[in-house]
Amino acid sequence: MGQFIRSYPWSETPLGSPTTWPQSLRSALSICLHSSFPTAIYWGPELRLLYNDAWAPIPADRHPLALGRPAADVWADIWDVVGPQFEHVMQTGEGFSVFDQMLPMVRNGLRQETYWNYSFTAIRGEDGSVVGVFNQGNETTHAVLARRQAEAELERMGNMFAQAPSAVAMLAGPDHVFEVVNTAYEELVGRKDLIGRPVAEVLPEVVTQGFIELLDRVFETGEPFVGRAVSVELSRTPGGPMEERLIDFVYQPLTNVAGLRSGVFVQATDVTHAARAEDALRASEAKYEAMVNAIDQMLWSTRPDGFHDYYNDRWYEYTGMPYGSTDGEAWNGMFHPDDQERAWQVWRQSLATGEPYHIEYRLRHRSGQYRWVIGRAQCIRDANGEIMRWFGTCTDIHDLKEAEEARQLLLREMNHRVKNLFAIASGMITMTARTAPSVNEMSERLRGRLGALAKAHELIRSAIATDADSSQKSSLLSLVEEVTRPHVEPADGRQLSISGPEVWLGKDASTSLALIFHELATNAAKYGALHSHDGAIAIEWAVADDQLELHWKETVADREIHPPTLAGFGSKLANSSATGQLRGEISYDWRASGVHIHFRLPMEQLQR
Amino acid sequence: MKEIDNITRSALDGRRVLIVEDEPFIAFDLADAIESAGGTVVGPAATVRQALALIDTEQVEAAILDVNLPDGDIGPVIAALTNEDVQLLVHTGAGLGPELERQYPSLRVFSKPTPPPVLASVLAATLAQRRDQPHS
Repeated sequence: MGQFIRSYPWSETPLGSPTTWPQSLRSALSICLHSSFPTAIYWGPELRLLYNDAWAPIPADRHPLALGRPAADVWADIWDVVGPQFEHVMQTGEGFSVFDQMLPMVRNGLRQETYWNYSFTAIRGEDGSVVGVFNQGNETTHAVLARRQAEAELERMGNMFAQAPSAVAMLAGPDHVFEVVNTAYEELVGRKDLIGRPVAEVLPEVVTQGFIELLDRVFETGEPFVGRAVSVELSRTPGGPMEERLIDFVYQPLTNVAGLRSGVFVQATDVTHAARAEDALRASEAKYEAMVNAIDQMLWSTRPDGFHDYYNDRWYEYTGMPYGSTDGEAWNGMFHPDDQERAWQVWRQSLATGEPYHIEYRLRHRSGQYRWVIGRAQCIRDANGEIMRWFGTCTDIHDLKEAEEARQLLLREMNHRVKNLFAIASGMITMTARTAPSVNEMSERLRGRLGALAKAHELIRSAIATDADSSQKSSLLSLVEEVTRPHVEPADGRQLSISGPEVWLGKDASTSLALIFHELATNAAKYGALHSHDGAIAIEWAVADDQLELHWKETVADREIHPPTLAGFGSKLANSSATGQLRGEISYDWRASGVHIHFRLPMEQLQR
Repeated sequence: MKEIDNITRSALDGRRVLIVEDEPFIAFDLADAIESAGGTVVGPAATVRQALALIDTEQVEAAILDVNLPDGDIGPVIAALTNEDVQLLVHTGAGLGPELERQYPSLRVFSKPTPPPVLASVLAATLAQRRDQPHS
């Protein structure tokens, strides 16, 4: 630059040839050219420009033409700013300096905001008057813009802070002084005058609730604290009542550039409403669970596509399956193999149409037994009529069904028995009418036979009544006693002895034996032991080789007994019953002292 | 009634009717009705075994059969008599049962109690019809 200055045609300027320059200009120029800092000299009334290499980039495209030119020409674009500054220094001789001065320079044809630190220092001539300005300076545009950007960033952050839905505050120092709070924070605590005051002072109610100690700990240890649905009692209106809020919050320690703890960042969200709603939901769910598990029925529910995703406890107790193991379509495997396809068909039909599901099927109980169950389900629909869910029940009807079957069986059985009884009674009437010598006699015999029949049924009936499980059995002892005893009148000295082990008779055998004993007793009364004075009948039995051996022994003291020449109807009936219905044998031993009748009856037949 | 009796009497005249019935009163009643109508009673048999033995040894042209017998149901007896082309009539309290109903759908079944003279006249009418038809 020194070379460049020397070769400049100064003679053509008011400064004249450098050989004529005063000492003050020479000295100043020497300092300028030897300085590594951007330095310029404005000289003379026109403020002609001289500058060093470091200064050269400042006028940009105006270098090197700026050399020797008047300042007002070189800096025409910013003269309204710098002109008065030059003027002031030239007039008063006072030094001037400015920092981050904005100069709207035109560079490459474009006006730009540029920022500068620079100083103007008066240069005095030999006569003491101000003859020039010594200028040093540097551009700070980049630094200014960077700072401005940082400030804008900070402001944006501040806005975000302010508008954040959650409450935010920054607390400074060990006393936790509010430095920044946003609107949400102010609303949460119900106060506005927080900035610059310690937490303990503006929110006295939180002191006893342990929050200051918590802040102290975070500040001291540098470890953040996170609280979930923490209960805080706040007085949210001036002098108002304490109000419980549930807060999610974070205490985040802040550290400054020097690495020292500077404060605590607080971020809090009021979750009172959500937490209470959640509590209410839990309570409602608990109530629902209690209800669905308090009933006997199994309950289940499915998605609209029929995917089972809920069963109550009863289902798992009943089936003995692990929780969750029957989700989806696994329920079908719990059904009896013969019912699975049918149940699928009914279920698919319901899923397709939304019609209620109703079916009886056998479900595998935890015992391994398949038990009859009624399955029912209904769907619920949304506002558009779309199926939202299916809700179903299973009700065990196994015992009911068995009881109903048993009842039906008994009813059928009784129906048959009644029909059979009428048929027997009809036969009795015909046969008695045919054999009785008179109407009175017929009436007498018929009453006796019907009576025997009725007694047999009475014994069977009471056996049913006392023990519903016994298959309609009567005792041989009771039967013999009931049927023969009425024919014996002890007052006349006649005797009846009955002895034998307990033998249980089926209903058919009971009827047959009642009729047989009735006929034998009737014959005894007409012709045998019960006709004689002091007569006796001994009925004895024993069981051997699955055969009942029964002896009917009559003893007559006052006369001799002869076999009848023609078998009467009673004997025929006894023979027919013993050999036919009872599939046994009957034999008569006609002794002069009375008839002995021997029955051999298979026990198997007596059970019918 | 008198008229029916007369027709029955002539129709059953000489016909041999098997009675299978385990209840003696009913058996005797049936036997009496058949005999009153001029028929000849074969039996009565009270068991399947007795009935089969009678079919083996006796000539049978018609039969009145009970279903439930002490040694089982009447099935074997029906089978034996169907082969012999005998007029059958079932007299039962409980019905034939699904198995026999399927096997013998055209069998005539009378519910107990049906008065024996009615059964006798039904048999007589059937036998009379058959007599009118030419045999091949």
